[in-house]
Amino acid sequence: MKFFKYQKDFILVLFLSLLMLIEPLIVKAYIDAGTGSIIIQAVIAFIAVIIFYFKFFWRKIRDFFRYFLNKYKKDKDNVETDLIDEHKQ
Amino acid sequence: MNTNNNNKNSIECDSVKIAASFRDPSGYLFIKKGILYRNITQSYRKHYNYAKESGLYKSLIDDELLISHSEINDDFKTSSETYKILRPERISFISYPYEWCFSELKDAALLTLEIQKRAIEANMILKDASAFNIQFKNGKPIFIDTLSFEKYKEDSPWIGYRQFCQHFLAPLTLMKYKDLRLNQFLRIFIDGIPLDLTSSLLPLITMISPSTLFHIHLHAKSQKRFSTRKKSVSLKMPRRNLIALIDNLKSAVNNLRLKKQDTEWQNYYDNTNYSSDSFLKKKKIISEFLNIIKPKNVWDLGANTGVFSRIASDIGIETISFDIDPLAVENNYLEIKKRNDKNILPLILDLTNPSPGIGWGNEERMSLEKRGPTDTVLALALVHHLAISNNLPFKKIAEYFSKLCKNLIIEFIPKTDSQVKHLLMTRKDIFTHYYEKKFEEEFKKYFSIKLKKDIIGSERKLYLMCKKEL
Repeated sequence: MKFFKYQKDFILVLFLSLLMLIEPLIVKAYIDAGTGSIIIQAVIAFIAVIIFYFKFFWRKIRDFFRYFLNKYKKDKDNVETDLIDEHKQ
Repeated sequence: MNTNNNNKNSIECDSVKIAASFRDPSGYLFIKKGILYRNITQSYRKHYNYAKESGLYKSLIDDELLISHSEINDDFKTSSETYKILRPERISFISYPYEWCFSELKDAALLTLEIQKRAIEANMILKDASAFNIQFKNGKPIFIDTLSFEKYKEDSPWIGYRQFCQHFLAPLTLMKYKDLRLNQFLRIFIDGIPLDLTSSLLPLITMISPSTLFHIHLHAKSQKRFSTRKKSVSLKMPRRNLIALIDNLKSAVNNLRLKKQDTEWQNYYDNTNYSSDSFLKKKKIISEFLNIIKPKNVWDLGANTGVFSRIASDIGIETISFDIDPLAVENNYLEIKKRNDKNILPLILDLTNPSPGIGWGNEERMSLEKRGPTDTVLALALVHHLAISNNLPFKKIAEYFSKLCKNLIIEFIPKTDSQVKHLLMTRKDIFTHYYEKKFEEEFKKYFSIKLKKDIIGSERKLYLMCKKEL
């Protein structure tokens, strides 16, 4: 089979493509970044992003319910005002 | 062409390289004929041009966040290694992080983060985060290292993160949770306070605060855990995550606030034996003396919260307001921020052990004496603390002051004054030479007394002295 014929090449290309995707970003500069410092900052940044999205969606959900709650309150108030007006008449 | 080139200055000839600028290969600072220059090497060419063309330099300079500079390549005969010569605006007095109070260090940290955020927006990044890259100008912190910016490589982490934690977060958390005087650690550790040391000194309660837990405690653990790793670290950190990290650091620094506390000198003016009338007279005499000598700059030694420093700064004289008490310096700085004072800089200084030259060859950071002399020193209600509390003979005091200034406004407080009595209350009076005549006699060896005035309502005397050319 043709696939098997080129299997080795295919695997190599796949491996290289994967390597491109997860290509290690070697951090070098005139000061030492420190391995431990790089790892912890990645962890902190990841958590910070999760917290950011959590807050963002939480606000969306809250605003969504607030909207309905306000709408409900408004409708209720309007019904009550209508009833009072009817009573007055 | 040749003649033209010969007229140009050579960089090497008659120039003095600044001892503090050798770590970064992007360039160095040098002084030639009293003017400060910055040499940019070819290795920094790409980054310099990008910062210039992206408008990052302009926006930071316009907002007074970065020191301004002008390109003056044409004046110099340059080697192939040199890309450009800049002439940066000069800061009149260089101060160091171990001389700053809590809020000065906090403002410097916030400035670093603000610059980092703007750099990322311009597709650049700060390659370091040293507190020594910040100075104070017009009462506000300003970034002085024009070559700290690098083109941002997508998905790369912040190299300067470790340095930021060691130079800013560590001293600030130690000052907040442990003791205000712990900023002095920055004098011992030139590249910031080691995080394992900070972590071990901080109280357990700091584990509850997420920012201290992650940026200090877990950071220290992570450094220890990976210190023996032989391979270089490889991980991607998307831009979004980097911005989240900077925002997180910003809120961590913003949340560090000092508790209200009393200080040794805070109520000093309430406890002195001045009447409010003689206090005003003292201010008037100092003002008169300053009007006679018209100094360009003043160092107020033992300035407390800067009450007398403001006499000088209010009339446009650049004033450095030194005090040993970190809380007095803190209050002075907060007052400056409130009043938007531009001519005064409060700094922490123990005059009996002033900032020495530190770093490589003890030359990287200058001693106090090397940053002088100043035009005028104000030494008000100070001599009795030096002579009695610290057993310093008048001769030693006069000799050191003569190295620091050209003019001296000094107050003499006799033994009959309640402040001196208080100092002698718990110790044997061994100070047989502490009297006015002896004071004048010793100071006359280094200074000539121009004026002497009594502070009416007290037994204190104010002198205006000028340094003798020995």
